[in-house]
Amino acid sequence: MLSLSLVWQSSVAQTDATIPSREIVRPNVVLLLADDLGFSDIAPYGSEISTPHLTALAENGVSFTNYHTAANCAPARAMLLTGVDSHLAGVPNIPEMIPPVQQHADHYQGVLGQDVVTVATLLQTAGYHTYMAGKWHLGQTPGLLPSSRGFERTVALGESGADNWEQKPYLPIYDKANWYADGKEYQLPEDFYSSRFLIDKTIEFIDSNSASEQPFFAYVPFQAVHMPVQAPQEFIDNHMGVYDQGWHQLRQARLKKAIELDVVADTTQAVSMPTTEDWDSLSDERKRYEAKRMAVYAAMIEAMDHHIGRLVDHLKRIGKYENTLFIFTSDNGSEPTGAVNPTTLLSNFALSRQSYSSDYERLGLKGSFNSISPSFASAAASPLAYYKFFVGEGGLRVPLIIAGNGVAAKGLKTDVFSHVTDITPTILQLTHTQEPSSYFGGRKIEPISGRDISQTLSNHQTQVRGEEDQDAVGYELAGNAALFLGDYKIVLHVAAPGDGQWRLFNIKIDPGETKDLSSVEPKRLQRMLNLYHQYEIDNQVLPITANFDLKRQVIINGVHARFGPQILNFIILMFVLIPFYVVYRTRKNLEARD
Amino acid sequence: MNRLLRIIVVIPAIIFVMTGIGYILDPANTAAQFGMPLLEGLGRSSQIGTLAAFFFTAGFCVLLATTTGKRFWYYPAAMLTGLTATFRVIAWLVHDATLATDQILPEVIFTFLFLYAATRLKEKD
Repeated sequence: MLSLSLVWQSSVAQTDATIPSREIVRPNVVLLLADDLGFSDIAPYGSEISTPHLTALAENGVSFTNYHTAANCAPARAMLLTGVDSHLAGVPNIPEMIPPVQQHADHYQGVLGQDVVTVATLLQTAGYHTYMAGKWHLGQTPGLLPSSRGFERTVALGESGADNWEQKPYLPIYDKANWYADGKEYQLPEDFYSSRFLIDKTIEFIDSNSASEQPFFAYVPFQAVHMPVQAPQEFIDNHMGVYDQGWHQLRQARLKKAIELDVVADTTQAVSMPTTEDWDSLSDERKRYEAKRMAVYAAMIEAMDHHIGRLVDHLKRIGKYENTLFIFTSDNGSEPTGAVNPTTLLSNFALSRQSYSSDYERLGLKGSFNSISPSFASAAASPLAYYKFFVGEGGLRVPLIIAGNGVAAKGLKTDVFSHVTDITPTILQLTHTQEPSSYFGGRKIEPISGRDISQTLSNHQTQVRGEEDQDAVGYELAGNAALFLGDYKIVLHVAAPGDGQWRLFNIKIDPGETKDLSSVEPKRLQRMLNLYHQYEIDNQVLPITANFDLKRQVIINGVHARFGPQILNFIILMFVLIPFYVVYRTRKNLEARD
Repeated sequence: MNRLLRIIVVIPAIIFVMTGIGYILDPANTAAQFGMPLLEGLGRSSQIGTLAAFFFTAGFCVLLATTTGKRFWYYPAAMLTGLTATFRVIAWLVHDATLATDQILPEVIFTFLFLYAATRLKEKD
């Protein structure tokens, strides 16, 4: 296997990114990123969904059960790829959701700033081939595309999501789905299905340098399971009937399984989210429909797992598997913004405007728009509270599996607190690539704030962070805020279903966030509030506007982007025409009087 | 019917006048309701002067229309509310202001209400 690995020497041209002087064998790295995958959506974390290839990875490595990311996608991707807090990386929120008043700040553009360096750039500089196939969503201008941010070969989706069967936008705020290959606009093939296509491209990129002795870094940010939730029929068939008992039963079943698997403490309880409908009150027709929505969701996850298996098999076939490090995770928790009932007349009319259907028979197939409602999203995050966009554990805590080369432990589950900003420094450590200092390529950069967690990949659990002030990890998204310190977490949700109150939880014994400790431990609460205030200052967090609403802001920004010039032209036209109309009516009135 | 309509249009008129008084007696809190801080110096003078005049004018015009029965008094009020809504949209489109839907919607409703009242009163006269 050594012959297939790079024996890399410091004579390779380097800048400030690298630099061991001795000969070392550096692993290939495959970074697999699911989209909107809930905490218990894969089998190693308690899911009923069959994910044998992810299970195999978990058995061949370490599963992190206390890993936290951002509450929505682009901030998570920015932190994942840079190790820098989302605010300092220029992506405190997705651009579609940033109100104009915040967009005046340079670091609130929702695109990856030029004062952060991606792990791809660092690895490329250190002699790696770097590939990316999947959703980017960190900027679409030429200097912001992945081909300009350290990736040698790319096929990338620019928006927050897109159809999985064809090149088509999934929301009316987009006029098209922009795909790019190596920095140029790209037309998807006719036989496109997202997970299959992205793995095919990854394999193609890897094989294009099969003769090279350089290792590779492959970043595969899947579209699965972002809406529209779509999957091939053969995978859907596997899950029909599985969800007929509804979301309450599923949430409880996953809680039980997660405890059995030691994914969460046996003291764990789950709250009932106020957004969860009463399953028993639904009509039989609604139950049938909701069960299929979730079946398609499960099928999309199973399809992703199937294609991950194809990549693993390919690496085995070409002899690169043994020297490859695999990292699998999700950008944020499960997506709750799907329509509660997508079969209403209004929903159907809106979908038909985009040439989508919510027809039961075709659900998940080409031309169909599917999602899960907040009720099944809560089950997907079981046993955690909340989901995507919120800073409850269901929005932030997701699976993380690290396996393969460099991972001594096999089948280990660790509840060591870890964070999305830890991934980049960990990859750098495992690839023997030096972290950049405060300058890179002659320009000042934001230093990495995440920590190397590679020491947790042995059989000995090691805390990466203690309980000192400098160990605190803060987070903010559109006013919703959290701070982690030791086993504790403070949480603020500014709007419903939150209540604008800071709460304190021990997330080690109560990951479901059922028992607010703020009145029991007021000193700890105050200390953590002070640390959060410092986090806001250090990371230049801007206050959110009054009455901010995520969904409404997306619509407003989308209308501005797509229809702004037309609206302005209409208003100007009215200003020109109305005086003529007033004069005309006045004359008519005068004539009538005469 | 016209009596009911007069009562309905008087409600926003009273709100306008009260807001105008608010700008004179308690400008800080009144400005805060519109997402503004109370400015200093010349800015405060312009802020209180123009906004108090705006709301008094809108309110008094409607009150004049309903008490005198002269429909044309509705038009300045309709122009003020209608143009405010329009310029809010332009501010959003061109100057990165917040799209103040919570304010625009009532302004549009008031505009159409005043125009409708003007039409109805014309029939009476």
